[in-house]
Amino acid sequence: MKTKILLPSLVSLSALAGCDADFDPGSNVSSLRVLAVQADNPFAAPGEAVRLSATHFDPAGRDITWAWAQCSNPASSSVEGCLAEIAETTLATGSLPLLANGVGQDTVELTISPTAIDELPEAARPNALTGVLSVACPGTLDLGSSGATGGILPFRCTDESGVELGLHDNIVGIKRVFVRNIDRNQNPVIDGITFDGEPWAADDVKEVDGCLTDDFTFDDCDGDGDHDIAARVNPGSFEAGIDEFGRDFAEELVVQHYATEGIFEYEVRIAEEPETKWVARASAAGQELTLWFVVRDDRGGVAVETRRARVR
Amino acid sequence: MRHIKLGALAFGALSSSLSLASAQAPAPVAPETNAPAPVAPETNAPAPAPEAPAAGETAKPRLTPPRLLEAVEPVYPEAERQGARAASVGLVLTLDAEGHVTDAAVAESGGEAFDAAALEAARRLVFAPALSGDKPIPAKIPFRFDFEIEPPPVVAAPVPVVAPVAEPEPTPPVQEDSLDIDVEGQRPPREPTRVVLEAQEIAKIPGTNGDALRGVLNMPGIAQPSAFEGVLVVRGSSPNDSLVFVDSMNVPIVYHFGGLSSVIPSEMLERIDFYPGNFGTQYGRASGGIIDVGVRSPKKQGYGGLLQFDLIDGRLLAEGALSDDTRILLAGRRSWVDAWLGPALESAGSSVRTAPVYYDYQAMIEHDVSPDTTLRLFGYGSDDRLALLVESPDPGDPASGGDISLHTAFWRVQGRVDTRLSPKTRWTTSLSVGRDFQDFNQGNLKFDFGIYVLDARTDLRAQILPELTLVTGLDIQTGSFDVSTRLPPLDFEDNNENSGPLFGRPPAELATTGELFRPSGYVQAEVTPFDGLKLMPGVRVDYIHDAKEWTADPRLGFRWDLYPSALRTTLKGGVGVFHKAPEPYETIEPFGSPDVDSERAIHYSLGVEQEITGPLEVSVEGFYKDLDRLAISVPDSSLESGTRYENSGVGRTYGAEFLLRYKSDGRFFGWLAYTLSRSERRDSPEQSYELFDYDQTHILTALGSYELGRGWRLGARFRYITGSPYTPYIGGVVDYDAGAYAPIEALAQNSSRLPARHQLDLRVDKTWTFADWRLSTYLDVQNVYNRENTEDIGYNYDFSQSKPVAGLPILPILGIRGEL
Repeated sequence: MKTKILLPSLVSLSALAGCDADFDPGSNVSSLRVLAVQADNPFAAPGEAVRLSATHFDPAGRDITWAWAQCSNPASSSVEGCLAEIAETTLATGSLPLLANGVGQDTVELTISPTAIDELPEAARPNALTGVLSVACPGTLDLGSSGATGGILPFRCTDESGVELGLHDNIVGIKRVFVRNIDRNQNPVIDGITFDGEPWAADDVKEVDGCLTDDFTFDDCDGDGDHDIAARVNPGSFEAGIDEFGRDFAEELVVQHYATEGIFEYEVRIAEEPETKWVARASAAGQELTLWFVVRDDRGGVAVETRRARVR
Repeated sequence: MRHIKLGALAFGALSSSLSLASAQAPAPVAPETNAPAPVAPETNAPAPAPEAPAAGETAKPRLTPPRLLEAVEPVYPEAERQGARAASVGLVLTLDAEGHVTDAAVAESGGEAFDAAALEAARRLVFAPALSGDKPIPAKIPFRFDFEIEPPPVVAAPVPVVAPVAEPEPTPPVQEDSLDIDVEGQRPPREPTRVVLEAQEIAKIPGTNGDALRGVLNMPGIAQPSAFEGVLVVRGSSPNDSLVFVDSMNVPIVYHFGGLSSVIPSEMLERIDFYPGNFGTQYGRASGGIIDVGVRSPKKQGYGGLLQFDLIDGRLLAEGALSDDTRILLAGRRSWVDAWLGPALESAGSSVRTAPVYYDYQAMIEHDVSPDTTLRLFGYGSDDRLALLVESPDPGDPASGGDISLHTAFWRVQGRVDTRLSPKTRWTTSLSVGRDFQDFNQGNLKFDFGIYVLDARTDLRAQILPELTLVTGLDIQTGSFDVSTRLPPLDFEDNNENSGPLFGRPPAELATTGELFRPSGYVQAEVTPFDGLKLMPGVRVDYIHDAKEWTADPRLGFRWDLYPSALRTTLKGGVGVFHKAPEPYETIEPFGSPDVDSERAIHYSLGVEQEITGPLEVSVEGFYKDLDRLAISVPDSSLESGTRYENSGVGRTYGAEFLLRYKSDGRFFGWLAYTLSRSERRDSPEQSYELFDYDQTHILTALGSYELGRGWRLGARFRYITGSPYTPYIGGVVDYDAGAYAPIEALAQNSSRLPARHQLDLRVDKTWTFADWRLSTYLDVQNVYNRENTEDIGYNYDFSQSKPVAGLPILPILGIRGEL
């Protein structure tokens, strides 16, 4: 009997082996980025209200126009699944299923459908979720127009000249809110940030030296102005137990690092071992930099801390 | 003069067949008879004692004649099969001081075709050299090949045959300077013409590291989607559409991780039957191609073995005769790429700590119950493991952190009874038990699958009339499985799927146990209404219990020797229905949909074969495959698995294959293989056709290997392959639960194509032959001019930039091997 080998679907050995092409890392925030969308209730009950808030940054300091739309129990829990349902709804109704939109609208409230669980067969209820699409456009957002994506994304973002902005320049994302009758999930708690082993207060702007390098290879700067940093996650954030469907669970937590400048030794760390190194580049001399520490659990919870540094 | 009966198993598929002759063992082993291995003539005819020197003269050294070490089984000329006559060819062989045949001349002709066959085989004979005292010297010796042919019928192709021991013939005394080898040709019921790759050809193809099953990848019709994928893509089919058999029993995998090497070592192979399409009714549950590997018998006399090491793995084989009618073989292999790859990755700054490990093992015992019946018990297995500790998860998917492990393994114990009920009737029964398992763990994600299998096959072949041969059989697959997963819904049908990061997606916990029962029956005939024309009609009926489905596969093939002569011209073709049983994950709840039916393909083929000279022949064949009822996965949140399957897909593959081949003449062999094809699919008849994931328009392979003499051999292989299609990304969308981007595909699937790949591989072998053993070393250099072939497209964190990902650079592999 033949079984399909899953390895190509699940593990990218080339990526694990560090065979990535020479691109700037995603930890480098050099353009508009939405680094996190936090739900006050990552697990919500039918009929319950949920508030989402976005952590974002635009180096150009532009006004951001937001749009939020909802998909309920999409065919697939993937990003594509929610996009497909929103696109279908838009096509069918002629308009995006909006929750909210407007300049600076970086938060939104939604109410979970009262039938979000009941409308599913019992076997599928552990997968009940509501997806929320967010669009952050540093220009003019035209909702209901397919733009250059040919209908995949039912909106269009243009700059002040009317030129359509690609997905690199306007940020589109999906946030899931899991629908449960009983279960709840707390967002992780970050106890603090350490800098070279010492607590790093939120209002403490560290003075750092820059490393003479033009690229993002940490080994070029190892020992040349680098610092040990870590986001300490509260042990209570590692939730585990049995869910309302009788299934064991034990959360996995990771720490993701971002900065407006500088190089991280590791962009992502497992929360049990959050230590990494960071070094600024000399090209940022005189600039004040922002670092973000984003802690996520694998059930939709997220927490964010920011810190600042100045390059001498 | 001792007569050694060897059987040449002639068989083939309708389109083409690939067969590995049984000449690999140092002592030839007859697949058809249990003929004794050749015996050194010196055991029967002692060398003349040196004459006493005359006064004042130095004593002349003792002369020892050459001793045959490696007999060769000549191929009965196809052109002579019609006449079915015996012949005898006397040769004079010139041997060098190492015992290699450097020249062969006909002293007594048996006819042009027989002379050519004898000369071709003679150049591959290996002798222990003549000695003057202790010094090896060149020599000239007479040598004879006797050709005989049995009247039909037949042993049909794919079921390997261990022939019953022939009626012992009176053994004339062996003369010290000559040996007779009788060749028996047997005609198969389906395809008398075959493409034969000799053992030495397979083992010396550059770029394959001597792996026979990797050598198959050089034949027309076989694509190579990626250097890192160990999959078989035959005539544009999905890898899951093709099946691999070992001694006619299905096995789950044929290659270790990433195609590094095959699970059965080449030293154990007697033949490889490759059917790119329109295969006979004894094979089913597949709509692509078939590879059936025949495992050879252990040595029937004495003992032997080998030990080999190279950059990738080490292997050991030992075999021998326990008695006159019982023999045994034990073999094993283990990779050690992990010993050097892991540290190399670590020193390069990778977060990966270990590399893949694989091993395989084989054990066989064979017993001649009677002159007509042989019993074989063969146990074998394969194990691939990968264990990683990733301290820093991939920024593209935080799920790729922590402990990651993958384990794929199987084992089988196969018993086979082969009985010649009469000169015209053969009955073979096989039973195979075993287990397949596969498990994967990555953080909270897991996949565990195991199945106990019990397969049985019985096959009766009989010549009813001179014009009619019939093959009937039963082929039963059963299994008891258990599977559990904790994964987000994934599309197992889409080879190129990237649905984004897995971290943060709700996993579905699914588990089930159950049984599989898939019996089938088949009938195949060979009808010869007049000389030169063979019609091969057949039908196969399958039942798939898990899908509650019956299928029927009628098939018809033909071969027509238009000009049966020394330069044969043969027209060949066929049409047939081929149902592919659904994968268990497609039908068994909660993973699949119980109403999913078998996929169906209709194969059409038409071609011509033309012999140009003795060793040179050309073959051209066109093919068309019409596919429907393809299983398509559809996301469905109302299901626990999140996926349902529908038989709404259709497809088509068409093209042509060209093969120009120079068969081994003892010094040189080579071929030029070219395939032009197109493979398309659509998810429903209402949609437009799109290129299939495994479409490769041009596949060109040119290879050759030349014996330089004195144990040196040099080979080269050049391949040009069209790049695989892929769907470009138009950008990325953030998955806020993973903090990473998911790609957004363009609407037109597979609308782009990777650049074509090409590379040159070189191989040099040096062999030293000693009295009782042989030492070989080889250097196999892959990608000699260090071409940066694009294997994939790499993207930046938000899929706004892309860059080619190169495959393996120049890769030299040095190996050493000792054989008894």
